[in-house]
Amino acid sequence: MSAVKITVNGQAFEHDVPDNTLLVSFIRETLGLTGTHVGCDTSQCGACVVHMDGRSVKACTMLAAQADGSEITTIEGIANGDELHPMQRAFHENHGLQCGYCTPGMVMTAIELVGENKKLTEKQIREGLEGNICRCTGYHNIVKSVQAAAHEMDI
Amino acid sequence: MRWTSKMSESTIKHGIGVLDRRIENRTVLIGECRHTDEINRNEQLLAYFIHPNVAHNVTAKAALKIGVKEI
Repeated sequence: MSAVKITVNGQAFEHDVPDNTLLVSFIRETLGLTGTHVGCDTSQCGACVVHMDGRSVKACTMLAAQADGSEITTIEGIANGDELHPMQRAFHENHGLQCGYCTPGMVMTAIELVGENKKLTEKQIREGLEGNICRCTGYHNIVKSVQAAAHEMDI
Repeated sequence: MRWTSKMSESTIKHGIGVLDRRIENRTVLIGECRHTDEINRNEQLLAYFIHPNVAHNVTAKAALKIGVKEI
């Protein structure tokens, strides 16, 4: 067992977990934050992306113990009360989701992407989202959403 | 009956070809939607769908050996 102290969405948690507990299992099962999804379980689809100390990580291929002492932000932690994060709002307004399974990971990856460069070209957005797979939208509206959010976050 | 009466309220309001903002988006976007994988009850029955990549029922026989009750 490992004792892990992790701050998730601003709230500190301390739990003893088996050494092989994945970060995504810790988030979903121990903390009950099921907004972070598990798609492939092999780090290919990106549905499990969360932010660890501000950087996006795939939570299905890292251990909870590796996140000990870090600050995690999940999809539940980016809205400000009833006010959606600009990226969430852009996905809503540009129809950037259909079934919504990939959306939490897509949004979290996109936030980091835009945080690094608010003047992204369409090509850069598509390359930046290569690690996130969507089987519904064909990516067109996701790219539009990220462009719209980047514009709003740049103002 | 006039043809416009068959249009949805959304189409009449926003026009043809305009994206309609879905009310179900919000729960997905804030991480509050629920999927069947998140239903976890005591003694819940689980079913797995095993898709063999070879013929002759090899996968089914292997599954029985490792304790699968019924196929």
